[in-house]
Amino acid sequence: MFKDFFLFELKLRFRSISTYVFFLMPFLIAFFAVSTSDFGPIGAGKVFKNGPFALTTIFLQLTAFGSILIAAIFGPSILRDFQEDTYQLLFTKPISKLAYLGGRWAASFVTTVWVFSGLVWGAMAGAFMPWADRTRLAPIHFWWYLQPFLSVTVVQIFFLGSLFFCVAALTRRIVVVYLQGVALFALYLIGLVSVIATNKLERFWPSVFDSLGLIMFQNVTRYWTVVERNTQLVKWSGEFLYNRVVWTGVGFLALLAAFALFPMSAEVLGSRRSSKHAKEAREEEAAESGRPPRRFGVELPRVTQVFGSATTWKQLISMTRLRFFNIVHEVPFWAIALIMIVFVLVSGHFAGRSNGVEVWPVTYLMVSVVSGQSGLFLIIIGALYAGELIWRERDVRFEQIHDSLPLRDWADFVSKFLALTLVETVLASVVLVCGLLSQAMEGYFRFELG
Amino acid sequence: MLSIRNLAKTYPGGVRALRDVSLEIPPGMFGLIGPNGAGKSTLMKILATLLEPDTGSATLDGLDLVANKDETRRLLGYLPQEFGVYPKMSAVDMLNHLAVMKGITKSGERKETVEGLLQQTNLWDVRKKALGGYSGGMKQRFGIAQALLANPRLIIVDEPTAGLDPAERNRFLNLLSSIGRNVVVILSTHIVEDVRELCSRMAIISSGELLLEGVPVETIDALKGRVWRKVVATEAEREAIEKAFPVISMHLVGGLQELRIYSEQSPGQGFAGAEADFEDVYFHHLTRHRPN
Repeated sequence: MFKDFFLFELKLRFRSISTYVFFLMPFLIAFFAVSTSDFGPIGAGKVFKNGPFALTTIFLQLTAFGSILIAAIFGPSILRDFQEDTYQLLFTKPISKLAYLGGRWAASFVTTVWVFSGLVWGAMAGAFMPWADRTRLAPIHFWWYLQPFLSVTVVQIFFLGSLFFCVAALTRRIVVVYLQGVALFALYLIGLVSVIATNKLERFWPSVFDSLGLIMFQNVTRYWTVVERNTQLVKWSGEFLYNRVVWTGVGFLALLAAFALFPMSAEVLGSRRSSKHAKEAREEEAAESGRPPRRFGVELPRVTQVFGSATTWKQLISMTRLRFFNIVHEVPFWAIALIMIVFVLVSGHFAGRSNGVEVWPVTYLMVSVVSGQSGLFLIIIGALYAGELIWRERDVRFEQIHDSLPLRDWADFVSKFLALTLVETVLASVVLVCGLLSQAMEGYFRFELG
Repeated sequence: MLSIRNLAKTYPGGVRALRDVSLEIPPGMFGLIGPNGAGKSTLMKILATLLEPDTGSATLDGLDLVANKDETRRLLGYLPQEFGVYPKMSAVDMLNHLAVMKGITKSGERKETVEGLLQQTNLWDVRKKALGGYSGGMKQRFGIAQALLANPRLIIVDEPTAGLDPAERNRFLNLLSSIGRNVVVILSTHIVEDVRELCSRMAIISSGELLLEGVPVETIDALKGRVWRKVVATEAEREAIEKAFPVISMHLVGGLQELRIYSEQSPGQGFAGAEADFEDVYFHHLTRHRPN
């Protein structure tokens, strides 16, 4: 039965176009990072673009920023049954928990490893490109590709994937999986900023507990010479080994928790749903008990329809308000906004110390630090909701009613643009307030807003 | 009066959804009935300005619906077969918004008409609740309310009774028939009773073609004395009858298979005369046009 779940899930994954799109992302980035001189984490210099140091760095950074892919593959594997409401069909069959959870997990793991193997193939293919700088390429050593892939990427997939899988299995809500991903990332960045800000070079413990390994790798290879960087792989010892062991352990714990706590019963799994249904039924009944409607001579009030530029204007405002309202009433929006606020406040706190010298937290400094840090978030929100707004009607399947409204096409388009602008303006104002707030928290009250 | 002339539509995949359909639809309830995939929804989407026909025209009291999309949308009330809602919006807010979209810009009138519709569709008590929490029936009633906004002169409702319980269905049909006396209402369904109970005229379409158009009662009268029934026990018996007569339908009656056939004279052989009903009309015309 394990095999059936495993193969079913695998088949589903490899039939879906998104799996191949996911594969292309690491492939292309690794490809260009190796084949061009200044793209990617390894810039100009004498370090081999496909040497052990360069490959480990590329794999490490791309795996860290590719965490979203891990969430996107592991999360849905378990949530699918609850989103599509197939859980009632599934949990009325005699299936074993190990086969169900294990099959889904294992297939997601294999899929994700395949997706990230794009790093290896991309980096290899990059080395053969005619335009690549020969002086910065070493001959192909398979172990240089395989060792970092196994010890960095595969461990990372195991640990993060299991964590996402666990949260998805236990909460069965995509919002929470999403939130967890963003929160982990923000926490990590905060940790990163605070470790760097301490300016200590003794970073053994931060290295061991560095979940994405960025600090750890920097710490291990800090004093390596160019020759070392071009010939040596990170040894499976010291901080590196401890770090990998710790996070593999966390991965195992997450799997154990998922297995121990996942209820194999449609009743428990669907309890939130059925209590919702019961509430609906009660409300329905309450609605029924009202005054019986008239059978004859039902007349709806007559209205006058006015069309013209004044109406178009009102339609534009109403449409914009609806779109704005829909964005700010969604949990992901608040998650991103909240994390942005925390992140901005934290970086504002450390802004007072540039290069180890304490400087006055004057308004220009705070605002520039804070706006620099929040720029990324504003771009994320912009990209996320621009896509969302274009497909909004189709997503909620309201497009047929929407498209048959007497609303000008350009007004519809402009309303999307206005709603997005409004959202960004609100967030930017929040950032401004955060900047001032962190200035105030440093005890410096000379606000220069002009 | 809605005049549909020679409408045809072939989808990019090569599916011929409508082939040369012409209809004259007077004010009142007009039922479109046909099996799944007959082209009902395609016809309705063309009338609701969502699809462009390949050939043909549709005019409502002289207004060309295909060419003048914006004007058409102003006088249209449309309930698609499947639709979703913005989950976080309440019914009253959403209806208000849609009322503005339909050009009801006077706020007093808007309030009055939105409240009237909420009451008529029995959503008054849940008007402030988010639409995402609505049950299937409540959502359908919201769909009906939005289709009736702004006194539409052309109402197109695609399978409106799907998902409604019998009481809700009754209430909705009442509402629709009392509103639809002076405007053109086109209702598609695959429930034959809906058409018989409700519609002053109807059309049967199948595989994109118009099979029959007329007044439901008259079409039943045309079959009077020509429907015969007989209980059959074996497959061989059924096959023999199918060879000899045009079979209208086969039903289970108390666990026994009963065949209904069409015959102008008494077929003998143990057949008894049956009271023709609208279902016989429907199946008779469907099977008669089925290519063998």
